[in-house]
Amino acid sequence: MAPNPKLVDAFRAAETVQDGDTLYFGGTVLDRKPMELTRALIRAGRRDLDVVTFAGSLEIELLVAAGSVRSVAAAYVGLGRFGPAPRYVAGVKAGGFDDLEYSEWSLLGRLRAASMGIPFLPTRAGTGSETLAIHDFASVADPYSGDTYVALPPLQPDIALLHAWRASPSGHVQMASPPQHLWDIDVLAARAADRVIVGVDQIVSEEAIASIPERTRLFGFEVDMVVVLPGGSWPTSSPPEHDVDEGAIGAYVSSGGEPGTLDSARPS
Amino acid sequence: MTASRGEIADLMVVALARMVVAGDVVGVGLGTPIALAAALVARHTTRHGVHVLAGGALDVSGGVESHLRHSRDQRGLTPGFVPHLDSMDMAERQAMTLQFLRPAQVDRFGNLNTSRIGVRSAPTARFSGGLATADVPALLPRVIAYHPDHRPRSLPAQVDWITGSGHGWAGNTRKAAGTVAVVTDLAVIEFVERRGRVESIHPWSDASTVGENTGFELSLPEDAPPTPEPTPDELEALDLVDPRRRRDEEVPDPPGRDRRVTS
Repeated sequence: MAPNPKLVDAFRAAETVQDGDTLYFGGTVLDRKPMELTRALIRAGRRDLDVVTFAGSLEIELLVAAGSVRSVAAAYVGLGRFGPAPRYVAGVKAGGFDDLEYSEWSLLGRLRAASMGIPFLPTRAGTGSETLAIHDFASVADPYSGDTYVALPPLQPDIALLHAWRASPSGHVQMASPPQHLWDIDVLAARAADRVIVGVDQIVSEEAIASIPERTRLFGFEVDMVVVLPGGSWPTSSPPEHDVDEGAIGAYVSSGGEPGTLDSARPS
Repeated sequence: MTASRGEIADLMVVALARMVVAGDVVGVGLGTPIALAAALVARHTTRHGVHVLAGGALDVSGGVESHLRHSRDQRGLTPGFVPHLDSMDMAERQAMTLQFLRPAQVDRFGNLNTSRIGVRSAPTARFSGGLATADVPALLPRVIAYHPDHRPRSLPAQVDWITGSGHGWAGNTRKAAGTVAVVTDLAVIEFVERRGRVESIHPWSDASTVGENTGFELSLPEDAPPTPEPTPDELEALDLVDPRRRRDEEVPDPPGRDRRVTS
């Protein structure tokens, strides 16, 4: 059998990212963050990245510490119960990158418009908010009622980087069941993006995928690259493989945001 | 008169819970145990159909701790999980009716700041971000804010940044009333006709303390009643939904009102 071009290593995946790309980072707060793919981007020296994530945490910390970031677009950046994200906050205060704060609806609505292939998505959400005003969204009149809505334009990231439970060589991706909170945003971002790279804890056979088809969340034709990265979300969680490594995140916070504490893949 | 963190948390939770009405579907965000406890207490004390959607699961049996569990440990405890995009749609079509929000600042119009202090390009403080704080005041029938450290910088005349717009603004259409009230560690304030009106003052506070610690002029009736202490039913519900007192974590230690800082 010919080698599968979809299965690559993290080095090759990072090579396909260009300086200046718009990258969506999957996972939410301390869950399912593509940490090892992020480390690979930094090792590859990628710069001027326009980073997009719904709720960012340690991946943003590593990117900011490495000076890889031109802008951060997010509805939340923090370490959940561990408090603020120290590098991110320091970077924003110093004006080190453009702080493109989003509201939840405006970011996810833009991804939804891209995922649906429509020119804009009307919403009432965010009316009167200065956070929305950052983005200069147009408004649109409902042709039926005449009411005015915010018109969210599509946001198509160049690449979505995700970490998931497992995939087959053809790229069918499965997630834990019952699903972890906010899992569906990863799927949305993948379907909005131009290209999709998924790191997985396990590579399994097509037969194994077919044995529990109800857990399949992305199909092979929607996924460009699969990277086998056991523990690749460490120290964030990856259900059903492992929970958040609270000790490691506590050590990072205690160190004042020393990226070296997060340098390696998950200790075995 | 002073109050402990526990007394403050208990009264804030029940004051919020009392604003929940039969039929409400309450959405609860991340990392807000007072909001979660209030929604769950209301579920116990309101006789008809209050539902709580928190952490992607509906009406998880067993209280605050159960709601904070991994989804895999909620089998047998919840009727089901809600994908996040579905819960957004529930809010936009008002199947979700109420959310409690905990901003850094609330101003005289009920505008909410969860974003930053200072200018965006070089702020002096950057908070973690508001998630849906900007969105839900324009979507849900009601939003109620709470702040456990009532002082002029938390309740200024004007927020440093309008993450979520407040009560009675021009663009407010349909049945979305915006921020209708704020519950603090000193008082319950409702926003009526673009003005904050003190509805009740907590037993350990008084009108002059509330006035001195608020950065804008309040409508403050001479006879503003004391906030009623938790009833036996409410205390029982509090014990049931939050026996480990996660709600106390949101109250400063020591409570801000004991520090008598007025700026």
